[in-house]
Amino acid sequence: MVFSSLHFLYIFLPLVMLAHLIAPRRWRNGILLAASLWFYAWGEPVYLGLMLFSVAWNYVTGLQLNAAVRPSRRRATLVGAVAVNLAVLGFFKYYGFLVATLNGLFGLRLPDYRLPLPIGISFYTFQALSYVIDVYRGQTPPQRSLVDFATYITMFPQLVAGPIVKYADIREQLHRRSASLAQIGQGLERVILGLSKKVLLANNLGLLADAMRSAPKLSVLSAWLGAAAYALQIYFDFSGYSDMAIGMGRMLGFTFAENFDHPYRARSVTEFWRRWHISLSGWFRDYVYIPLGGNRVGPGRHILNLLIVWLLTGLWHGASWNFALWGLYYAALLIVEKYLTGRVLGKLPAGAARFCTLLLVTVGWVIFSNTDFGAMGRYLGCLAGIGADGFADAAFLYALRSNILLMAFAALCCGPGLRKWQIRLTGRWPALALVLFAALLIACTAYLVHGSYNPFLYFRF
Amino acid sequence: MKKKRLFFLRATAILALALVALLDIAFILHRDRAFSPLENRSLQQRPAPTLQGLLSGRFETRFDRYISDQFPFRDGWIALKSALDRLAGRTESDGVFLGKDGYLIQDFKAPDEADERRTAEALAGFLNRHDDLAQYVMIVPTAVTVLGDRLPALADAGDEGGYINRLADELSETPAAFIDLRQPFAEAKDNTQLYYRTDHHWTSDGARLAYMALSGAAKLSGNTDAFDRRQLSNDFQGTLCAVSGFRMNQSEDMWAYLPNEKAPQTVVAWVAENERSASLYRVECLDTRDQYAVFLGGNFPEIRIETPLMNGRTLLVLKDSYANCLIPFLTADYQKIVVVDPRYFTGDLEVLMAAEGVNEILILYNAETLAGDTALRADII
Repeated sequence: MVFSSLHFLYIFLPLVMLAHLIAPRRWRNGILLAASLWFYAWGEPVYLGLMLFSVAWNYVTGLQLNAAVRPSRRRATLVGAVAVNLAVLGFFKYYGFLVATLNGLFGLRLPDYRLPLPIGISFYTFQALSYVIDVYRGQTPPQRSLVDFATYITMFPQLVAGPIVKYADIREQLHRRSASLAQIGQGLERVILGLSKKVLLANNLGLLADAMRSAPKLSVLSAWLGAAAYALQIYFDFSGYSDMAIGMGRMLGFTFAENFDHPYRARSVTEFWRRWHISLSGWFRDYVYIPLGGNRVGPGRHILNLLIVWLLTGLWHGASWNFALWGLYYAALLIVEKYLTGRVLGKLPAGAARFCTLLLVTVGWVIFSNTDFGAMGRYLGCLAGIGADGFADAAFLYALRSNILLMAFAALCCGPGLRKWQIRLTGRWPALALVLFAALLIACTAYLVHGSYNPFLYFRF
Repeated sequence: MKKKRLFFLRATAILALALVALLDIAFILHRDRAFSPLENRSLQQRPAPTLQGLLSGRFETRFDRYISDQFPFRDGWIALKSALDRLAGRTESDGVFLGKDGYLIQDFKAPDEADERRTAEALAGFLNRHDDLAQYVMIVPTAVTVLGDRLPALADAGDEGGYINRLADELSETPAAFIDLRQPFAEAKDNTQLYYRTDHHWTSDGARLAYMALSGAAKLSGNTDAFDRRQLSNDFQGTLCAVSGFRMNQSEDMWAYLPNEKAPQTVVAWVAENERSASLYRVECLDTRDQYAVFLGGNFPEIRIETPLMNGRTLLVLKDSYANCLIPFLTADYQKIVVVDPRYFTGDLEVLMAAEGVNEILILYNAETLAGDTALRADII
């Protein structure tokens, strides 16, 4: 099930929320778990078993880690658990990719099973890994209730597209949480904002980005317009999804950590990654980067650490070489920033630094969005004026004219100003704010009923 | 301020619940529709759950579509969505431009080079094979070319004129007379409505002008006195509204040239359907959504029209739907007209031509259909 569907918004979500609200407290997790399994199974029930296996395996591992006293025994248990989790993820997500690469390199004929990617596997595997590692490190006690643990892993708001919630962050809330009417309203406010980002902004920006990417000829400015539209699309798509997840969590009484903090206002690439998909960068920092030694090592080792972390981050986003390239692109940028240009960047005026960062990030998204290296090369070439069909053309003017309002409004939404204004509005003229939110919900519903164009970018994960 | 914010939050929760409840109740109470006239398509009915359907995901896909297809006030939601699109400055949707003066204009999509060449070669081959017959080729420019000034500002439409030029060039080695309508249409467009505002077809006035343009090359009377201009409908809504979602409330008049007492009697036979009629028009189609089907009843593989004229002229028309409202004018000039739509015709064209004694050929397509055509390419002719 996807959030941006009428079925989810008008049937599933209200029913689940009502049941969760009315039921006695001790049933709440059971209801949430049943709802999450139903949510996951809807449309692709075959992989439900895989997810339940992951739940059971990591549940047992948590208890074993707690019961074992000998360090070597605990270590072996952890290594086994991590290996199984990674093996499952690796097989279902990377097997086809690996086989295609090996067959291509060595002319082998290894069989490719062409398995569809189990939805959300990258997210729930990472949550489960964070749990077993935290239990091993003694940072959190294990969860003894299977229902509560399963509720944590499968919780539908963040199951298929994050944010990656660390067990320690919601351990208390799994047992004790309350949802007042105001909290539900607060959650809904966030859900409607997220839905609007996805349906009104991201989907329409996507039309523009796709039109430019599939155009047979591109002028330089068309290419930049398309790249900018994609950068905005992926931000509103993904952060909209996170907003909805956080909002629904709020409605259920959970407080999930923020996943985005106005990333396009970053003044350096380093800062961008502190503001973009925070839960993922945090995961890699805590479980890969710091265990490798982080930056408290010699420059050589530090550079190696960055390369490892960013190669993995890239590949986490998809089983294709362009994602690896995208990750390494960021590794290179971060290394350059750390050792060469960091000082210079700090001295630039904020506007100039933001502009440079945005430029680099936008080029990054071109690498990210083209799994085909030929198409990627052609598009990057057009951005630089190589192979482009002139500097500007009629197609650019028409696309600009048709989308300038959308682009300008989307750009405005990238900053914190609008949200601050909106919160102030709710505190001063609540009736006006209510009308605004009703209008947003109604507008989203209209687009969903029309429903001709509703792809979710973050569904490949 | 805190208090007001609290009020807002609580009211949001209650209002959202009320809205959802309202729509859900409307959903339960309203009766499912089988067909949406507005969108011109069948709507998803409530699927029956089966174990296999559930496991494969087919049931879920259908169920989600069912919810959205049968959503209460669906037509209103769609109109709202288009209004919002227009508000945001969008002037193109699914290949349809939101033109000026109430015109919806279909964009021209050029075929890829290989397809274009195959179609042109098929046509040239056919014409050269029959170089003993008189031949006319009429590739009608569509509104995107003729009404270029009605396109939205800065619109980047496909190059239909270039396509017609290339085709004329390819066919210049054949004996066929290429009738280019761009000049006469450009001269007439400000005084005559040549295209429907909500449909991709030309009007009967456009077709009449084309008949005049053909009359020189084909030695026709060029005289349409035997037809009276009459209004057939005042509520015609073409397919472009449904395709684009623009101007869903707009409809327009449909005029046609109907034969008067001076016109020859005709006998029309729809061959594959085994139907006969004295009329080239099917008035009952005016009560359906597809009112343009009033001309010849729509598109059929083969239609044979006979007149009492004894001039021995037998014309083969290879055509798309544009021809349907031009053919009536030709009944004043031909003893027999054999109308073949290659998209649906499955017989042997050579055998048919020999059997009917065809001695003239008219190829009549609009550029848009010809560009997207796959039948000619597939060696139907």
